[in-house]
Amino acid sequence: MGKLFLKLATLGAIVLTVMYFITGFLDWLSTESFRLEKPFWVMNQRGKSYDFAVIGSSRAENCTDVRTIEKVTGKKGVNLGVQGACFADNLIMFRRFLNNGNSTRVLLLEVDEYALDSRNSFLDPFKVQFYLPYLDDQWVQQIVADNISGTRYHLWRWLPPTKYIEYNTMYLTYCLQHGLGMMGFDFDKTGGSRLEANQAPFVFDAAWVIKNRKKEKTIDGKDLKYLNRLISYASERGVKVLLYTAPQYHEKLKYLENHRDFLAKMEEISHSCNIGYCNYEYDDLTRDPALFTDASHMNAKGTVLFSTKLAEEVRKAL
Amino acid sequence: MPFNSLSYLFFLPAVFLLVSLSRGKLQWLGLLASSVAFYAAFRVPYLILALFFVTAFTFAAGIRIERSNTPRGKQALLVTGILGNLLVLVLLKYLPFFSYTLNSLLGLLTSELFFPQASVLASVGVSYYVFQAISYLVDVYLEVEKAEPHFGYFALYISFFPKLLQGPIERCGTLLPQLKEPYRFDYDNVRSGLVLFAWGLWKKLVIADRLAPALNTAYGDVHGYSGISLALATYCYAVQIYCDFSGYTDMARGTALLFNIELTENFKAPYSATSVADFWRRWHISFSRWILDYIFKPLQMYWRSRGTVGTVAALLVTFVASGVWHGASWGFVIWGALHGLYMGVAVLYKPYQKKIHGFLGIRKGRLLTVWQTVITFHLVCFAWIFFRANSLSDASFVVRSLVELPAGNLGLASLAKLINIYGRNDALIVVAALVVLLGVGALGNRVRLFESPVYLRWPCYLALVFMIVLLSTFHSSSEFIYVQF
Repeated sequence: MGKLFLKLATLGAIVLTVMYFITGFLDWLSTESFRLEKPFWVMNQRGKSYDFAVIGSSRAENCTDVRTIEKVTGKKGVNLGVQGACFADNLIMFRRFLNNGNSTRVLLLEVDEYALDSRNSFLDPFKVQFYLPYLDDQWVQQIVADNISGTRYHLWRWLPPTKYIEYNTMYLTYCLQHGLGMMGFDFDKTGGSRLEANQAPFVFDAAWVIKNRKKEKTIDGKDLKYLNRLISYASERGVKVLLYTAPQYHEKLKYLENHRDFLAKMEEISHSCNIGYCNYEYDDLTRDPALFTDASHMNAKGTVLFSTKLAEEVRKAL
Repeated sequence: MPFNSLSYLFFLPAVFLLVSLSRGKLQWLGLLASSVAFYAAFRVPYLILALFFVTAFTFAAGIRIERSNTPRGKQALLVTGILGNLLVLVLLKYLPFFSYTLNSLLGLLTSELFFPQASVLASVGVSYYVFQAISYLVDVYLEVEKAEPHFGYFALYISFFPKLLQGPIERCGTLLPQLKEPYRFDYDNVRSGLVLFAWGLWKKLVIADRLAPALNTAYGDVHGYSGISLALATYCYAVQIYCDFSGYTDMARGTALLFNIELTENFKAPYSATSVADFWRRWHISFSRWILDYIFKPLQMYWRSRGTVGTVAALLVTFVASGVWHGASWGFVIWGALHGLYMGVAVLYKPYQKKIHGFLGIRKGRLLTVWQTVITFHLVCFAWIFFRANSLSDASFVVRSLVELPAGNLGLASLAKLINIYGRNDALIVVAALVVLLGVGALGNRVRLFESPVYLRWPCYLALVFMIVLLSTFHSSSEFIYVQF
């Protein structure tokens, strides 16, 4: 049996050595150069100064146009929103953004019923796969530990190659695309906003909404905790926070069980943290189906109209 | 506890150490306790109860059959034993189907539910060990085997964890004597077992699980696809189910080899079969032998006076039963009936084969073999459509789309959509992995890995490990397909 263990140990040692080397290489490459995916683009920004930054989930990334706000206000901005990101994601990305020598005076934080119930609203609520290279950072470690299973966390922590083994295809693909010089969406050109390209006319379908809602929506304690942490963190770093809720088609509000609780909670946070809150869920824009791509996302035309309105609040905040 | 789970990675070495370190007479106890723990990991208490019932009931029935002095008594005990086992199978597996079908039929007359709709209970492994228990009873009845007097060994024979969830369905004559052998560490067996396990894991994680999203997308919304994309999805399913099931069997056989136990080889390159009968000699071998011995042969004997027609009828009944064994759904029934039909037609065609070949000028040779292999593969794939489709209407839509293919309705747009959703990287990895699989299959027994020099052997080990580590789909790994049967 000794011979077997010796051979298994040798095999294991060779595999681990190679995997540690690959892990180091991927940690270095992804923190230095990956920009194809939005989270990497956000976390790999370096040494830039902005007047305002937009953050949140898809309704920040897709429905808030930085270039329109820049045009109206004459100030420089960046969109740090990521589709399907929860507040824990936003917190990690915003911290990396600031720690990379970037700065912003105002943070426009998009809050809505979905982001406050991310586990029921998003397919992939916590985007842990993007933080694998940052697991040495205790701050990131703590948030990751809070959002994934203990077994996975400890495996990744004490045997780092396992994190890339789990997400092998994703990182191999990134390496391949990076090596081939492939370009994804040009976030540099749009300032991080990705306006909806879909031009198909939108028709509200109540039956579809009822059929596709996963669970009765609530206010998730964990999402609320990270929203508060994000606000506190920005305030501590001298960034003025402005909360806003992007428009969604007015009919949809009837089907959001946590809408009333959400409004009350936003009122409470805005009051207790002494920060502004603009809710566009009752704006006139929400009544025009021609401005939407689906019930909770505006199309490019709607986004530009909404961003023009939001720009006035940005101007006031600056 | 699935073989491709992280917990199994800790469980297996722990059992290996437990058995290696325990003294001779207690080794069976270590394996039995591990098997129960393995099954209990599913956290479905009634499954443990069902396993215990089948074990105790079959054990008692076996002993009583052996002790019974009259043929009629033996026969009654055998029937009772079989019915008792089938009752467990029906209760756990088929009750929801029966109540659904009866309600559907009666629902044509009225909208009320006549029978309470039974919930779908987890029945993991039940069909496998129930079939094993039935084969034991029949073998004892026919005096092919002696009844096992030791309850511990018998319980281990029924519940031995490597084959508990998906087989192979082992006969007591081959497995029980091996379980009774005192364990002695055998380096060659352990090495072979580990490599076989890794090979099975590779087939499952790199090929089967990577193919799953493509065909799940297409078969999940068949009306969104047409023509060539549905044909591609069906081919993908044929490869997926082979890699998934044979991968599991390799892992089961590899695990058993660690304990010096050889389980039945369940697959022998099934898609290189030159006829459907040949396919069944290569696919799920332990199951096809079971249905051959315990369903087909008795039926054929019973209908022997009817000659060829009797054989065809026996084949049809046997394969419909094999479809029903897979699950309570009409899709499985049609899948089984199709295989029965293929075999039946082959039986009827056989006497005329030489004449027809002679008339058409077809000669035996490589070209004919290739042609027969291609035809067999497509017949099997056609049956897979009913096996995989979510409903009969989905299956008929797929068939209609395929029928329209020669008319030029290729559905290239839906193919582009499928590739777009699936991703080129996954497709590339699967194609590369299939080349490796075919290459290893082609080498077959010509290259003996363990006899080759270290500078060839070790790169092979390392390549296998790195292929698993770097190309597997750990993040979206799914459960084994056959575990649901």
